[in-house]
Amino acid sequence: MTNKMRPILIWHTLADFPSWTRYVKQHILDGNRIVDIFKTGSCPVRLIAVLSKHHPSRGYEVVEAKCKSEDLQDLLMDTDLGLVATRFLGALYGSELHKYPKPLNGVYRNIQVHVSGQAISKFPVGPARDGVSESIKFSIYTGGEDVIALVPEFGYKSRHITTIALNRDVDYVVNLAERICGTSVVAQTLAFVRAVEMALNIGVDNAEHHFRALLLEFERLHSHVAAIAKICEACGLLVPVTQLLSLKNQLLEAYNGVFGHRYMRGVIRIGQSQSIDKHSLYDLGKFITRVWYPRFTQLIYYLRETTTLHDRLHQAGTVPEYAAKDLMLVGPVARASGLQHDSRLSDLWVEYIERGFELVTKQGGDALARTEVLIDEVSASIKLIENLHGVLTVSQVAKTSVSVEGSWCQGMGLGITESPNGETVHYVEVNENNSLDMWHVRTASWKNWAGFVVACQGKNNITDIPVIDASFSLPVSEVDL
Amino acid sequence: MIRWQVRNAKNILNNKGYRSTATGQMPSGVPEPNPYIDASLVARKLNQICPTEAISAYTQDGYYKLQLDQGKCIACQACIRQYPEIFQKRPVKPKYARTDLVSTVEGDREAGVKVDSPSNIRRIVLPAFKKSLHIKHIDAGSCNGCESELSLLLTSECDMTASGIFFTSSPAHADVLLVTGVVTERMRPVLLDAWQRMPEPKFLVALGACAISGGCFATHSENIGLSNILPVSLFIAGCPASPTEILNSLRRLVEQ
Repeated sequence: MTNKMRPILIWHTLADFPSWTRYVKQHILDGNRIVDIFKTGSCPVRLIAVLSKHHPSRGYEVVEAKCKSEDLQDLLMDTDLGLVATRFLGALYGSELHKYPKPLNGVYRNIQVHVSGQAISKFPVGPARDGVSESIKFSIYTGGEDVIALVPEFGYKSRHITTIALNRDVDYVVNLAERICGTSVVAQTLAFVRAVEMALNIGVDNAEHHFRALLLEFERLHSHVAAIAKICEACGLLVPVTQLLSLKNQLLEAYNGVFGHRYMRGVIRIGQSQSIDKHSLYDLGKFITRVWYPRFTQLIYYLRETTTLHDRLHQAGTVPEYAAKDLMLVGPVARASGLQHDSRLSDLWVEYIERGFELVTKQGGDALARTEVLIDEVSASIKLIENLHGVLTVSQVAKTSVSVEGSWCQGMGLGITESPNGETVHYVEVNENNSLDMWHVRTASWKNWAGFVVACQGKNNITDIPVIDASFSLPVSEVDL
Repeated sequence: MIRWQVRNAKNILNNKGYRSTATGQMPSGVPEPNPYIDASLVARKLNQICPTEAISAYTQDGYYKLQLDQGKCIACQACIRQYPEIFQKRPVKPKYARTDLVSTVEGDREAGVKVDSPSNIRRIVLPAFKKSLHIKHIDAGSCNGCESELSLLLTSECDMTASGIFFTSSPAHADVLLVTGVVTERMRPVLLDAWQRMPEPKFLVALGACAISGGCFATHSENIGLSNILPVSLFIAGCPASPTEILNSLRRLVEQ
């Protein structure tokens, strides 16, 4: 693949707010995807939309325009864009979406929280829940056994990470990025580091990009295995739970030996990662592909033979394809609903397609499809790890920086990674003292919690909630920043 | 360091598992200072290494002192990578007082001498429970890393139930309240409520740097360490501590 065919980032600054609205509207009408919309600054507010074309080789477009705060109110009430804008700039899971006139496919109307009527009971659960779990409050509305609605309430464990990071040196903030979520350490750190490198125009070796991609796949392995274990636990299959967790522990022990930390904290740094011995990395790759993966496949073989698991997951928490598209879901959840989306396809830093990346998608959108996606993605990651290892041993060391076209200001950077839960976007503004002026984080879980709300409605029994929760495997810490 | 890594990677290939020290545990990343270093040689360089100021070096009465607070350490490994001769990874051991997490090395120009040793307070109280222990876990604001490690206590390698340790849903049924994460403002009443509902005798365990000191989130006024609001009985340092370290620490509370 020549350099010209690689996905690129195009950065437009539009003249005024109406042009911005027209541009974004046309983008949606063309059937393309919105990655993120956020605002920065005040008086005037800068509104930034990150857009993605359907074709992966087209990469991303960043469209920004200045507007007044009154314009934002108009945008939220816009007939075509209001729902999309509210999704990103307003409520997290859609508590206010019912106020807006025109749902895209009728999905938003279902996320109303003002449930009332006779024989409807409300069960509050949390924030301190059963067993080892993160703090979040659920309000479950039921009519008899059926779940009518489930409304999550966030903010209990908000650590104010983006506030702490302001005016701090970017090297210090890497530590904060590592602690956004313990199960997506590499993805969050890498998205932040990529954004800072773009903002400061730091060129990075090609080998370094591939090394980071390798770490991402390592993380995907242990995260997906833990998610499958959680699903088995929700289905009451305790034997595979202990075996899957044991497999996860083996991976973490191996990472600790090679990288010095079980979750690979302290490895990725701005410009150049910590040096890791090539032989250790090679041995780790061999261990994962030759020792660990056969154990995993054997366990999955028995798991697939277990009909109780199949019966329990089948048609539990279904998210139809149109709903996944409307809610802009990402990651394994979106792919289980049939969306052909993975940010590795349009990655600006590594040519994943050249490295043998295979997109895993399923139809159905139920908990079974999500489990199948997780299982198949482990196999896809193993293949990718083998190929990336091959590239790292060849050691291509050409310095590369991301090609950005358009009116792009020095000091602004965008980093996108495919975390185990899906597409993660970090946007930074760095000043001349290498301190952060602005840090915007849009995690995959933030987007997918809306899918969880939709999945819980409908034909589900109240006892299906733990199974649906496990099949989404959404960390609360990615939302409560 | 590299040789150590290679040896461990080879051990994996041979399916032997990791054995880093004589204790048979894989240390999770929290460093300890070498007690025999000359603090005077390193004192001036060290103040800038640690992002959470867990390491401090200063002069007192003409002596150089080097302090490492494991309660603040977020296991970023910056000190271990830059000064491997001074800081080494050791398996985390539980401490019974906040001050026990601070180790100090004092030295002059010739040689370093370790002067401060952990106190023995409250150790005589433990173990407080016979054979079994029920734990109520509350996430007060963690990154999900500690929860991820806690869930691994169910693996066949650790098997907490074999040690008589169980998780329970209700604080009214719990002996120990295990708290992870920095205590956020909205989780404070939830924590206090759970603590009040627990029957006596009860113990509070702070797991991880965030719960102990706030870690790198302590700079925000709404985030505080657990010991600022409730009496903590056991501190388990780490970011996060490994399942083996957690289990070994919790075993101190139970008569085996």
